[in-house]
Amino acid sequence: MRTRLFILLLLSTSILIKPVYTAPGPELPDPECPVESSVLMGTVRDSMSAEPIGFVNILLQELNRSITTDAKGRFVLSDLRCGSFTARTFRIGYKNITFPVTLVHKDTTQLDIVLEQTPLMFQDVLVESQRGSNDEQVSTPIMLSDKKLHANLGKTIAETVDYEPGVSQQTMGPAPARPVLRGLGGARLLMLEDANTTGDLSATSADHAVAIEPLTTERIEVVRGPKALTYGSNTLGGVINVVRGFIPTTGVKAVTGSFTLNGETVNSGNAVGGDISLPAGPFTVRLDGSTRRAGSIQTPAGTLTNTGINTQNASAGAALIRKWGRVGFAAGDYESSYGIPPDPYGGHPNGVDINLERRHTETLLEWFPHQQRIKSVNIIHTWSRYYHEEIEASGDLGMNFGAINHNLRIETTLGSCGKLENSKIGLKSGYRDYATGGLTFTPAVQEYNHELYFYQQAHLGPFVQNGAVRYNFKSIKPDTLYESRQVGSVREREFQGVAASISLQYDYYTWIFGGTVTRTFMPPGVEELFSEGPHLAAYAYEVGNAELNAETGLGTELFIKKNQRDHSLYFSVYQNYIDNYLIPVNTGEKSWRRADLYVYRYLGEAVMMRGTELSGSWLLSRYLSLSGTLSYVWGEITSQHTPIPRTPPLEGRLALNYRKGSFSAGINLRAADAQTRTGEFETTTDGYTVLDLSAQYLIAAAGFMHSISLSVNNATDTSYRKHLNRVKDVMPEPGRNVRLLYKVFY
Amino acid sequence: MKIINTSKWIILFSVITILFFTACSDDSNPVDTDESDHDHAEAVGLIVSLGDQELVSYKEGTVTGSFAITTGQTTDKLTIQFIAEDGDVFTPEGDHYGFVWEVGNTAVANILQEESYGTWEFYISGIAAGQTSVIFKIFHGDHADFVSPEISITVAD
Repeated sequence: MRTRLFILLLLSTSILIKPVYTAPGPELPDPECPVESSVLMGTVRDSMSAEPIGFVNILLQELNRSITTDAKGRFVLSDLRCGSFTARTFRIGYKNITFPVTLVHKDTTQLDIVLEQTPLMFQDVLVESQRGSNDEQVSTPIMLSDKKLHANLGKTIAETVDYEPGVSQQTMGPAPARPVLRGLGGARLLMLEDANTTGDLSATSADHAVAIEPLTTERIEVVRGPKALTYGSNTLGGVINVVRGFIPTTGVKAVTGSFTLNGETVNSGNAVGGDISLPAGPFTVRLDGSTRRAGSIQTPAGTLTNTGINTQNASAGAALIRKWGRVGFAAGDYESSYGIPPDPYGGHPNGVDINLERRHTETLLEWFPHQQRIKSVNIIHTWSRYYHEEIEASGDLGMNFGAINHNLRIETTLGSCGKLENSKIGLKSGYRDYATGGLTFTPAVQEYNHELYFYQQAHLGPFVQNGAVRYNFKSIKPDTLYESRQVGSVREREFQGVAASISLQYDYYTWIFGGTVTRTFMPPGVEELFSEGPHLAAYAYEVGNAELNAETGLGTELFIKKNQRDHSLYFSVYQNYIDNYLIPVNTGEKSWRRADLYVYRYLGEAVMMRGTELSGSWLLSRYLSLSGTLSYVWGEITSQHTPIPRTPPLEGRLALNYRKGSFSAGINLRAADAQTRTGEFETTTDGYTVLDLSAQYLIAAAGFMHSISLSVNNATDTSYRKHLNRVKDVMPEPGRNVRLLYKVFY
Repeated sequence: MKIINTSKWIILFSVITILFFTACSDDSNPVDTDESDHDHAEAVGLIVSLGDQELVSYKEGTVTGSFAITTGQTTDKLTIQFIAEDGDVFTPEGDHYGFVWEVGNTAVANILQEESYGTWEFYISGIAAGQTSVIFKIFHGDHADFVSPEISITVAD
């Protein structure tokens, strides 16, 4: 039945794509849009006072060009190609707006943009995919930028997005944290930086940190639905894209940037970071850097020892931006040392210190060929070198991991054709050289990945349809071939499969109804195939299974959405069926090497997950608003009739927000129900309610905009434990934390 | 149709090529699998011997034999060796390996070493009549590379 449904999906998508690719002909120049460049300029003003608004970020989506207004609210974007585009604005304290812009060749388009202040917190976040179309409401309900990002800025990306509906974080101390979307984490959730894979190993183990510093992050996008398949084939949980902007997207004529200071009491932590963009001849150069230091976390039950963090992060990028497109390069380095807390229950009785380093480069060529059929061509190459070592309390090396990654992505955006819009065709090839050392017996491997994808959007009467198909080929070649008693025949394995997604959206007055059906494909990784070694935190001796096949998922989702001036609502229900869910299963045999541990072998099990998300906001008065979220996911390994391990409980949030002029303040209640549906060796957790307080003030003066945020998390110093915290049995969550964040834009 | 003139393309191509190769100049994996990163005792079994006599063995997941002594007596010097995955018998070498044992009930029997003994040599002392067991471990730094199953010790009157 599922196979038939999938074939129907493929057919429907391919039918819609077909007209674009079966209409060969000579490449015609666009008669309406020759080579000469266009200019977009104007001002941004407040709807009430008519005063100019500085530091408004204006983005032309299709061109991926953005500009920030000066202190007098003025902006000029030059070297643009002509055509019709979608513009968006982002500004702290103001409602984000989206509107069409038409640029005429050899002409200047003047805009007078009026923004409205809003106390509705959700207006800052409940928007569509940043890179998607204006009509692609189905893709995602979440994006963090500006105020929301400042208010929730945490030590990690996972902590920063943890407050959003359907998002949880899996932690093992404050540093190693990774988001979990709708109960799906690890390799089932793609985490990207500027739409590229980071090359870190955070998806493979709970004690591995994500090598992205949130302090200098521009915004965070959560993408679901067909659009997510343009990033990867395993997107049932979704995609979290951290936008850093390593390579400048717009030319600057003066120095611009930001500087951030952050301090918090719960770990005596502080962080300093900033970015600067400046003109350098024909190039625009962007530099950013940050440093973060923190001690061990304080909890209501005492200190969670060995949880300090010391992180340095720096990058430099340059771009030549012209009317024909953009060429750019960026390089960066991320180094972090952090501790895993002692856990007598979890196999690290004295804790472990982890040192990791990630170097990376990105080279980009973006070309606007000024053809009717081809809007743009992007060629992006990324390289990263990742090293990570785990030092035990004795000073000895426990394990180390190294990976070299190359990825090349070529993406073409096609011109409109009939009802089809925003069609994209892309090719991605990747190579990974992976090796381990220390107390792990995973062979070194070379991995090759080739992917081809299509994405398109169509307006069919009152409906908006999005569709995507992605073909994935993956090859894993061990450096040494051998027969393992436990793992099987360690040899080259090849996997290929297709992922597809289709969504339909219907606008009925102020309501939007929609649904998505997605098939995903995830080949097993080297750890699931060939690894062998003790996993002390799981009380298991885990062995791979060289015969594993790829994991496939079928997800369906229905949603209702309403977004009005004085209220907004979002409600969705979803079901994800995963065939061949890769999970270590107890064989009932003791390990020969570690007779104190049972052997857990990776097997493919059938899994069902069902869940719902609800969020809304209401304007109670001119200055006061109420907002809330609720999310729940239920999961079961159907072949065993047992719960899926580490599934988040029912979680929710209720916030009362006051905003007048440049000042805003909020009272936020976070709550979760008890979780008693647990896997083997997993302990239950009680429900909790936690109070957070926050206040923010904006000052625009002398060409600078200052943002000061003060927040008190867990204001009542409540002792509570989150279910996805791997060291929850050692200590509760952090106690009262007073956090001060200062950011200046110039 | 020429969008950009030829010289610009050459410059662009040169810049990208130079940057690409600059980026990839450090393209060796930071973990060198030829080095001794896998410096861990890869034992899957053990043999405890009294001189040339094999007293106890743990091979392919099965323990054969047990220790038996009488109250107030001690055994002669026993030697423990380990069995690798390929069947080779070896003794861990280097200061970073430690020999650790856990006796279930030290009121019945205990394991001791004399100063003259090597790291992997020991004797068993029978303290009181009864039954207990011992687990042998190869410790490496802060963790055990090898942990044996329980091996029975019987102390008779």
